[in-house]
Amino acid sequence: MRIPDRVITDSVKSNVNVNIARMMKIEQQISSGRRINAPSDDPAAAAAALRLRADISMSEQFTRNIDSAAARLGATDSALGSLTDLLQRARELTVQAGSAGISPAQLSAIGTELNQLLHHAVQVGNSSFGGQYLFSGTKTTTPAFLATGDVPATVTYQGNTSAILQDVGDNAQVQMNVTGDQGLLAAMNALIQIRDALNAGDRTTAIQSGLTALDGAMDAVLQQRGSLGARINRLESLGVRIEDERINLHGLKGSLEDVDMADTIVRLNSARNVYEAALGAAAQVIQKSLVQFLR
Amino acid sequence: MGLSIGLDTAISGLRAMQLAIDTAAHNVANADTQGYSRQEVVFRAIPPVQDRNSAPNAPLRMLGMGVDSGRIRRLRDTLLDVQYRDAHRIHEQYHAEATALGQAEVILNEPSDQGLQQLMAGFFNTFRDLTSRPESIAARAAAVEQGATLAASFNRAGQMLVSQRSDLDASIEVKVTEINKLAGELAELNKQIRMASVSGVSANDLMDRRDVVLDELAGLAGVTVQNGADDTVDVYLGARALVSGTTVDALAAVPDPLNANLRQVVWASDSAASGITSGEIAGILKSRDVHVTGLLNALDELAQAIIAGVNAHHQNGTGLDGTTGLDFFTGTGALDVAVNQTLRDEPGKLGIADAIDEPGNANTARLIAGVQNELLLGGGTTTVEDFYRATVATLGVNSQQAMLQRDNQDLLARHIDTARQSVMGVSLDEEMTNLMKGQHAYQAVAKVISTVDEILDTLINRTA
Repeated sequence: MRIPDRVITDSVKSNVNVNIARMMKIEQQISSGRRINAPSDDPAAAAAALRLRADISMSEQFTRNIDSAAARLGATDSALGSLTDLLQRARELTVQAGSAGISPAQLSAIGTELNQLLHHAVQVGNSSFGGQYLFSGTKTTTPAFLATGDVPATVTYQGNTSAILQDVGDNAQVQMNVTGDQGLLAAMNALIQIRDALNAGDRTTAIQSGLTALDGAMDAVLQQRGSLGARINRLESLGVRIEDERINLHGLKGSLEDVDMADTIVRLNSARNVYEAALGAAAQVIQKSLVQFLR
Repeated sequence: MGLSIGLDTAISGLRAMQLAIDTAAHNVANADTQGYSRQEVVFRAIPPVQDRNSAPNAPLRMLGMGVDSGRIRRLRDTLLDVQYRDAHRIHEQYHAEATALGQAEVILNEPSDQGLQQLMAGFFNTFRDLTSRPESIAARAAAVEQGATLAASFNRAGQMLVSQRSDLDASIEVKVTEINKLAGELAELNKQIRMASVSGVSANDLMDRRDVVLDELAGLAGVTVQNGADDTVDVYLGARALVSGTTVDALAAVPDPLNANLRQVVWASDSAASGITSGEIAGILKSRDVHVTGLLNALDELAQAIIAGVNAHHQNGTGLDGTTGLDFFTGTGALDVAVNQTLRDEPGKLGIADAIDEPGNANTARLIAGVQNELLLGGGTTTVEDFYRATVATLGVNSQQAMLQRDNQDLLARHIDTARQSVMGVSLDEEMTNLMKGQHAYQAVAKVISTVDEILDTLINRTA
């Protein structure tokens, strides 16, 4: 076969271009740190990487949701904790009021303290967290309880009974509120009942039915705290699981999208060697011609 | 025989060698000319004359009269030309497609943190964020702005695809002009070649130029070539002649009312469809009408699904002030989707509660976030994100295929061109050898002349 000069130069040019293109591709991968810079680099892997990105983004959102639900449930629990302490004190006072030989002055003092505990309970019931009233149901901008005057005759619940649900996983929700119409309102009414009975000098009613109501309210509050604790535990374990999953997802995404540096640098070196060899060979071949040997 | 015949014979040799040296010079000068075929003088012995010895009854004999160097031929394998053009037109077609698809990939910019995938996920996530603090105007504003960002990204991608489509459309006009120019040049070359052919002159260099034009026409529109009378060629697009002898039937790019007034290629004389099915123009048309338009349609479908899906829930939702029945997104597709301006002005009206007067209620926000997992597309089989991923994967596969085909055809075309060049290319080594051969032969013939001269001198001046 004849090999005209043009064939040699054309082949040198096209081969050198192929080598440069290969080096550029590898260089692009190294400098971007990414194996897939366009879907056509690996369409299947690109689609899988997009899916992983969506999954990771969703998983990060669920972690945020879990964190905010856990924080809110924690604040609710500590509010109910101080309510429990307060009711405990009210119970002690009521029992003390029932003991023999208690003076009217002491009784009146107990009545006053119970009234203060009532104010305190209303305050706890109106706790807010990040601008949201915790016990108002979904009427989170309205204080849960309304008590008017220094010695409020009644306490009104201003919230509703709606649950606030938070999505914390695929098809997993958690209720992140406790409504005040349950244990809290009962506790306040019990305090009012005992206070009013003592103020009216009716120790028997105060101690008998008042104490029963108070115990019932305390049980309800404790039950709510138990349920809160269970929910917080569930969120914690869910959070750990989601984060573990996310580490796996990141790993998978990395293996699809990211460059294996060691491997890629070796490939770059080998591509550069081939390129240099091609240039060297071209220099050898193009130089030689009969022209140089004539005369 | 007379001695002068010896001189005539020698002079024919001098002329022949002069021509061989000239031809070598022409070859060397054109060693790097595109499409040049090396040329060669066809030597042929001049028919002999009958000669009789002066002796009586001597037999007749044939006496050589020297060399005829009338014709210079070009060395070219026309079968390889046909094969080359076949590979070249397919290469040009995929080259156009691969370029357009590569641009579309840049427009979508996936996989990346700025792509639509990430923005869609981010949009739905802000509605999940809202469940933690639905009464917060700041959180509502964040959700509205995330929606606006998503809408703007749809607008941007759509607009860039539209402008890519109009760029492709404009390039068709340019390519058609190019074809008409080449067709005109071809007709002119046919004319000159015919004149040369009729007067018996070989038009090697004109034919080389014509083959370059034919290569280019094949690359642009996948034309077929047929030989006509007097060394002319006819060029066909489908069954209709683009160039017939010295006549050109020109093409034109005119708006097609059936295809959004994008240009179509027709015959200028009667507006019939040109029937271009391969070559660069076919690649551009396919990129414009299939790849880019397909992508635009997919984005439109996606945007419509999101608009409808989100609005369906949002209309049932209630804002902080009790407003209900509002659309979240306005617009009809990727190009004009936007967030309802009322919501941007007053994020409090964002309808994320499923009951009136419950600021802590975010049940509708949860439903809107759930649009992410609703089977809204593909006749109720696909989520918006899966649909988008499939679109990106299809684009990737198309682009990869086009690049692969382009590179394969490039390799094939180069391979055929190498074979072609091995016949028609100029080898300097060879020409140097020819030059030396010509030089030596010239010297030898000159020696013959001086020998005859000496003989004549002896005969005329020394014989007396």
